[in-house]
Parts: sequence; C-alpha cells; structure tokens
Amino acid sequence: MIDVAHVHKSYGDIRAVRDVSFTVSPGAVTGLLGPNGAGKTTIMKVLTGYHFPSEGSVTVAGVDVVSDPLEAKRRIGYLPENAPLYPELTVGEYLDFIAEARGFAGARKRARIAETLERTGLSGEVSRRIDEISKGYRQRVGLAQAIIHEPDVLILDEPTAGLDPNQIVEIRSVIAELGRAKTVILSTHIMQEVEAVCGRVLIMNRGAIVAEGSTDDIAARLKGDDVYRVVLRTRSAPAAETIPGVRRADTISIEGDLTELRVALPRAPHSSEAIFDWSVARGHKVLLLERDRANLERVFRELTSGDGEGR
Amino acid sequence: MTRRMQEIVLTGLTAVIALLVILNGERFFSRWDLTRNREQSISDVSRTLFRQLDDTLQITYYVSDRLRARAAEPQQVIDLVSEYAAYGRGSIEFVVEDPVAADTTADIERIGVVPQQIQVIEQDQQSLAVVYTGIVIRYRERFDVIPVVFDPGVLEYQLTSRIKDLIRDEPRSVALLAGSTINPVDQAFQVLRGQLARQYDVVELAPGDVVPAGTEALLLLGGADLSEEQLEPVEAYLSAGGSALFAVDGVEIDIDAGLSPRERGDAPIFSMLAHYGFVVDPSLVLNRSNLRIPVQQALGAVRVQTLEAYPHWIVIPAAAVSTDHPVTARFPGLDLMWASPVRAVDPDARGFTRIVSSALDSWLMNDAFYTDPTQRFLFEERFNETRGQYDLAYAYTGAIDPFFDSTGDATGEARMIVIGDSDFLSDLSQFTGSAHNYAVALNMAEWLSNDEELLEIRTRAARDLRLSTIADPIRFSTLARIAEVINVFLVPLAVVFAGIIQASKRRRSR
Amino acid sequence: MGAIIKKELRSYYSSPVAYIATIFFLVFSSTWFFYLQRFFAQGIASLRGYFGVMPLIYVILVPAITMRIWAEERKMGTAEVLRTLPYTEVQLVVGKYVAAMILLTATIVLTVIVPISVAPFGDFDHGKTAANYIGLLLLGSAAVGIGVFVSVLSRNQISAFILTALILLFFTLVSQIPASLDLSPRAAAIINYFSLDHHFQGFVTGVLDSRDVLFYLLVTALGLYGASRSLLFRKWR
Repeated sequence: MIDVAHVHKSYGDIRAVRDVSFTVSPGAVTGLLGPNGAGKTTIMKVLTGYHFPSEGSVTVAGVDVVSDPLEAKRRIGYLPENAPLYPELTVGEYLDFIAEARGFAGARKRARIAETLERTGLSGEVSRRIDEISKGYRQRVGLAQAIIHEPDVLILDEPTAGLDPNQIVEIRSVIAELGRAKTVILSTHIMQEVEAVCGRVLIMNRGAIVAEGSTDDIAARLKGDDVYRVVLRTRSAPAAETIPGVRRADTISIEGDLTELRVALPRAPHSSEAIFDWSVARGHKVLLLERDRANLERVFRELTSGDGEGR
Repeated sequence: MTRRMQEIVLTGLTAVIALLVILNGERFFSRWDLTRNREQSISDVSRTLFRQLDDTLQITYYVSDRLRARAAEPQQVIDLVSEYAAYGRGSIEFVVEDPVAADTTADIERIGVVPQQIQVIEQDQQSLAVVYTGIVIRYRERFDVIPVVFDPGVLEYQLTSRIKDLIRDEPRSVALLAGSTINPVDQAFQVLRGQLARQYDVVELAPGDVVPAGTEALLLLGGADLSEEQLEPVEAYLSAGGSALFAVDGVEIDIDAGLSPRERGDAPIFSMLAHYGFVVDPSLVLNRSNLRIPVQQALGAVRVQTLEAYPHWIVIPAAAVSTDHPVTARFPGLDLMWASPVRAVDPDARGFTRIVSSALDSWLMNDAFYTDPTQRFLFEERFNETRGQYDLAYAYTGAIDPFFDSTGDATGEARMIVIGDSDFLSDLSQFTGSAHNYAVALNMAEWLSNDEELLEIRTRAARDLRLSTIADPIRFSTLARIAEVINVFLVPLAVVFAGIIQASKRRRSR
Repeated sequence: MGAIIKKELRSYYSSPVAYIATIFFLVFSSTWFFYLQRFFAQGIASLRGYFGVMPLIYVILVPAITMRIWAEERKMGTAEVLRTLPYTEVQLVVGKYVAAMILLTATIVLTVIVPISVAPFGDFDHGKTAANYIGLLLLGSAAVGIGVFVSVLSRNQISAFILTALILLFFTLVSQIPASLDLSPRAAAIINYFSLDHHFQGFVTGVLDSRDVLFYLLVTALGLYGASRSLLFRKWR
C-alpha cells in the first residue's frame, strides 16, 4: 500500500513534481507511465525515501517515509534506474552483502539468497564478477537485491530498460508474479510494458499526473478511441453498453438521478452523435457531453514518438 | 519541513556542544607518560620537594611572547614547571612573565638571565630579535637563576638541584687534582671542569694540598706522578668519610709526544690502591669495536688525512656495565682511551661492585706498547693468548683500611670509584664526539657526593643512544643490510604477493 | 553495520588501490628512514625520524583510502541502493569509516616490522614507540574523518583525493605559520590548535596528553557527523 498526498519536489529552482497524489494497492502491478523527464524517477526516489518531498506526504505500508525512514526502508524493495551495482564484487558477494544488510544471517541468509537466485534465474552466475556479466543478468541482480527480503512494497524504476526482447519477457513474468501478492509500482516510458504487466496505470507528464485508471481504460483512450465524459439525468439505470458501436462504457458515479459515464467509441468524425441519439431514444437528458482526451493526446504522441530513443 | 527544521536545530546544537568540549578539554586535562622511567614527567624527588620548604618558593619563568609564539619548547617548560606547582600544595608558586611586556628586562639581566638572539622574519625582512627564556627561583631572601632554559629534557635536574641548594643554603663543591704531569687540569680537563661548574663549586688542588672540609667529592685525574707524601692528604680525606674517583692509567700515553707510551705500574698510587683492594694492571685493553683516529699519510707529495679504526679507543657497550649500580644503571654510553684493566683483589668482598667491563673479545697489550695508528699490524699480536672480557672499573662503599701509618683509624664511610683510564675525562672526549663520557663523570661525581636522588633525575632520560648493542662492525653492517632489505623490499613484496594471490583466487573461482 | 564493513573491505581488497597505497606507504617510509635519513649511518637509537615523516605520508595515503568511499558510490549510482537499505546515515558513515580504519591499521601494523628489525641494534624506548603508534592511529582516525567528509561532498574520486590531500597538507603544515611569523601567543596557540602535526608532537616525545587525544577524536567525530548530516540534508536538496 502506497499513499502519496500532494507531493511537490523541487531541485533548486527546478520543480520536478507538482501536487501529485495517488494510491497504489496490492494485488495488481501499477505502472507509472510517462515520457523521459516527466518526473517518474523523482516519484520513485521520493517513494523510497532516497529523497524527501519538498511538500506533501508519502506513506508506504502505513509508514511515513520522512518521519520514520528506517522502518519504511525495511518494507520497501527498490530497483533504481539502470540497476547500479558494485562491479568489483561477485554476484554471490553482492547478494550476501544485501542479505546481511537486510538483517539475515546464517542458514536463513543462505536460504534467502538461494531462493532469490532461483527466482531470478541467477543460480549459475553466483561466483562471477558483476562487471563480467551481461546487462540482462545485471538487471536481474538488481531485481534480486530488491526482493531478497520479500518486501511488502516493490518499487522498480525502468526495470526492463536496455534489455533484449527475450530478457524483457523473462523479467516481466517475474514482476507479474510478484505483483499478485505485493504492492508493486514500476516506472516505464513504454506503453506495451504497461499493457503486458500492469493492471493499473498512472500517466505523468511534466511533473504531474495527467491520467490514471485501469490499463484497459487508459489503453483504449490512448489507442485512438474517442472517449467522452457524459452526465445524464435519468431515473432508470442507463445501459450504456447498448450505445451503438460502443467499445467501453464505465459508470463513474451515480448521485441521485445524475449519472456520470465514460464512453469509448471508435474514432470517427462526429462520433458523439451516437451517444446523443441513444440518450434521446432512451429518454435520458444529456446535461454534459465532452471529449475527454485533451492532455492524453499530447502525452500519447510523446510516448509513441519517444519510443526507442528512451533509455 | 518540520523534520528538516528539527535536524537543522540538532546540527546547530551539536556544533555548540563540540565547541564546549574543546574549551573544557583544554582546561581539564591529564597526561600519561609512556616513556621508560617516565622521563617526560617530574620524579618523586621533585614532587616531594615541598616537604622540605618552610616558606613559599616562587618560580618565575621569564619568557618572551615572541619566542613562545614561535617555538614549542617554552610551552613544554611551562607544562613541566606547572607540575612542580601542582604537587607543591600551595607552597610552590609559578609565574610566567614576558619581561618585555612587563618592562623588567634590565632587572632580570642584572640578576643573571641571559638574553638570546633569534632570527625573525617581519614584513619580509629578516632580522635578529632579542628574546628571554630564563628561570628565577626565589626562596626567602635568596634566589638562584637558570640563565637560559630551552631543553625541557634537562630542566627538572636543573630546577630540583637548584631548589635543593636554595633550601640547604650552601653550594656543593668538588675538588679536582691532576696526578700526572703530562695532563694538568688547566690544559687537559677544561671541558670536564666546565661541566662540573654548572652543578658544583669546583676547587682545583695542587699535589699535596689538604682536601678542604666540606668537599663532596675528590676527582683524581691520573696519579702516577704523585709521591707518597702527596697521597697522604687524599687518604686522610677518605679516612674521614670522603669520596674519591681514582682515574688512573697503568700505561700513560703522551699525546703531545707522538702518542709515546710510559708504563707506570710501579708508581706509589698503585700500591695504595692495591692496599685498598684494587689492582690496576700496567697493560692496555683493546677491542675491535672502537673509535676512529685521524691519521696523516704521505702519498707521494700529497698529505692525506684518513680516519682509521683505532683499537685503543674502545667503545663500552651497554651490556658490559652494571645495571644495578646508580652510576651506570641508566647508561648514556662510554668510550675509554688507552684503558688499563682494573681488578678487585676480592670481588665478592663487601662494598665492592664491578661497574664497567670491556666488550667481549677484547685483548691485551702488556709488554711492548704499540700506539702508532700506522702500526696497526702490530696491535693484534697477543689477540689469541689474551682474548676475553676485562674489568675496567670498580666502586667501593665502606671504611678504608689506612695505607699510611700516619693516617689514623677511619672515622667515616668512604666512597670510591677506581677506573683504569683518565683520558676519557680529558678534552680528548670532546674531540672524539664522546660527550656521554662527561655524563658518566657527572654520574660518578653525584654518586660520590651521596646525591643519588639527583643522579636519578638526571639519568632518568639517559640511555645509550648509540646503536651499540652489536659490537662487531662486520656483523653490524651485515645485520643492518638485512634489516634494510627486509623493510624496503621484502615487506612491500609480500604485500604485492598477497595482492596477486587474492586476485588470482578470485579469477580461478569464476 | 557489520555488513557494510565487510562489503567495504571486500571492495578494497578486490581493487588494486588498497595494495598500491599500502606498498607506497611501506616503501616510502622505510626508504626515507633507511636511505634518506641513513638510520644506520647516523647510529642513533631513536625512531623519531621514522615517525616524524608519517604525518606527511598520511597526506597522500589517507586520501587514497577515503577518496572512493562515497564519491564512487555516488558516481556509480550505488548510493541509491545503499541509502535505501535499512541503515541510518550515521550507521552508513561509521561503517565506512571503520572499514577505512581497518585498512589503515593493517597498513600501520605492517610498519611494526621496522621497530622490531632495528631493536637488536640499540637500546630503544619501547614505551615511546607505543606512544607513537597510538598517535599514528589517532592522527589517522582524524585524517580519515576528514577524508570521509570530503568524499561525501565530492562528485568523483579524483576531486575527493585532491581536496582531501590539500586539506590534510594545510592542517599538517599550518603549525609552521606561528613558527615563522611574529604572532601573539594567543593567535599562535589558536593556529597550533588546528594543526594535525602540532598535536602529534606530544606522542613523538612519548606522552599521551588528553588534549591531543581529544583533538583527534573530535576531528574524527566532526568529520563523520558532517558527512552524515550532509547525506541527510541532501535528501531535501
């Protein structure tokens, strides 16, 4: 469980993150999607307590990271961007250090190391020096380091950056498996990664959250569907799935006789006509009908055009 | 934000605490002296001096501020004198004063503090500055002055001996008597005389003079030319409880006459000493551990001066002196020139202590005396027959059995040291760089005058500072090379190997 | 904290820096003592010349040990992992300090061979030698404290090395100022108080003075405290 409330973070005069709030719950991997420079890494650093927020609060697994950083750090596993490691140590020595630092000793320590090596597919590399193994293996060592103490909360910054397609698939399956029981948040600038492993997604741009929702919803909005926000006055429950040609329809809220919907239709000129006609036919009064994509479109363009040049 | 403010306040408080720790640490401190014999602290004798005081004793250290700012020694002097005051329970007062600031330079120069010159750089100009560093001790109406204080190592002795003199109100005196015509005091023993004069009133006696009453010790320098009549006053002095050093040569060498030897075994003094129980052999002790002598040699038309090993000038190693006797307990080193063996008739008799022997593998020259350094091939003629260790000095405490009929029965306990060499006390030691010889002489004078407490203070820091444990020069240089090679090459190489082994172990484990 | 010490020592001994620094120290100090000061030719049973040069050798040795201690973590990005392990800033700093002191102590222990190998030649005061070694360790501790602090502030090893060396050189030689200029005793005392070398002189004569011990411990503590504070405040940067 991660709870971020009104976090601002400035580095000198540069405002990296502005008024960011979100929560992450266990059971589904949450993706933090955004172009390079959007503030994803800043959020990651603030979540782990590596940096403290200039304003706002961050609670991880019920612990405030500023007032009790030690306890917060115990509950977090963190894979920083590029998986920084000590090149002069062997994989075994490195994990031995992390395990001891995490408070394991003796047989329990050896068991934890063996299990983690198994899980990350590193068993064959224990005695190799870190500067002699491939980038993919290094990323796995970084991941092993993050999960060795079975943390409640796992924070992964660009976990698949720089890997080849096969390695990416392997790492993603490990992350997906971890996400079933733990609170996992990962950052990426690649849409496909989110679709592959995340159940929920937060989209950041220029230091702010610009959209959040289930992956399917966000994917639909990003994939060129026309998404509308609709507010109807109606006594009966509107059956939005009966709108002709509808791709998705979500009920956002119902207050008295006011119902707010989000409806996705295939992109077409004047696609809103279908919703209006459907409402009239059903006898719902349309109070509001507006396109819900102003920011997302630009983000989407940056995300797609940025694909490939990202690290 | 609140946590940040807390941490900033905490950091500020810590800085304040650090400052308080510094200030208090400078006020309340203690010293632990790890040196052998605690040579950096004052001794029990000095600590308990105040018990002999009936009045306040005032010690004033006159030191110029500009010297204090420049050198570490004045602070060490202050630290040391402060210990006197600290142990003095209020009866010893200590004041530090800059005579320039206090405008007392004329007064203190008048009572004997000697101004010193040091070089200073002021506004990029090098100039000489006059500074003071002297101590004046005042007790009742009397005072004593240490004109220049700069070596904290000898300060305790200077201070404690002067304080004792002030309390007692009479200076100690020693008498010098040259017993050989070739080496009169005013020609051959000026350095020794100067060294003694710092601590004693020095009285020079002519042969046959009565030794004045109250003389703490008589130093007899050579003795072969003294007649029986001239020896009688010496025995009279001893018999009354006096103390004497007999530095006598079994074979005298005349330096001014081309090192010509004179065998003196038949002189009356040797009969007298033999009667007391000391036998001085008319022979010379030689050793390969020795000093070098300058030799002029003609190489064609050119005269070259070289330094040659000279087995007559023997180096006494610390292992060859008694560690029990106060004179040699803390041994500063000793070099003897043309020394004769000294034996005790009964070494186990009460009162006799052997204090100095030669190094191992010494040998004798006992019929033909070759002293010319260019005749080195003759020096070892009797090496095989006489090789061994020879005793060179004995000390004795007790009443004497009179040698002369004219002397009555002994009325006091005498102290005597007999050593088979007088040249080591002469100015020759200055020439050979054997300043420690004079230190040994002072040790002897102090032991003879029953001042063992002071002897202990002065010798506390004294050690044989030379690398003299290994006497054989060839063995020495071999072992020295080994020590150098171990430290300069082998130890670093071992680290290199450790590194290579560590690196290859890691590579292999891959 | 044991884990950090162990990891630091592993890092030290798997890179050549520690070996090169140790070898430099040993070769330089004994060459100085035996060949430049010509110990055996001088023939005086004193190790003053040997220990006297140590503060100057520290000016090079200590920065070589401490330069990588934080600057390298920062450059490699490993600081991010290290600082998200469950340690306080003080624990991290002290752990690294202890590791550096173990390395320095190991180097100093190797020099004990010098006093041992010259002991048979004369009458040495072993109490004095012991005082010198205590002084060397305390001086080393203060220098490592300074080096750790500088390393935290530096972006890379080279600048950490140069800056530490300059600071140590300055505070070693600062006692020369009162010796050559005309200053009031109070000004001289204040300048001397900050000199690393000035406080070492007591140990050279064989005396452990609580003021000197306190000074070195205080410099160590302030260096480490400064390092841990700047690590902490960097989080708000």
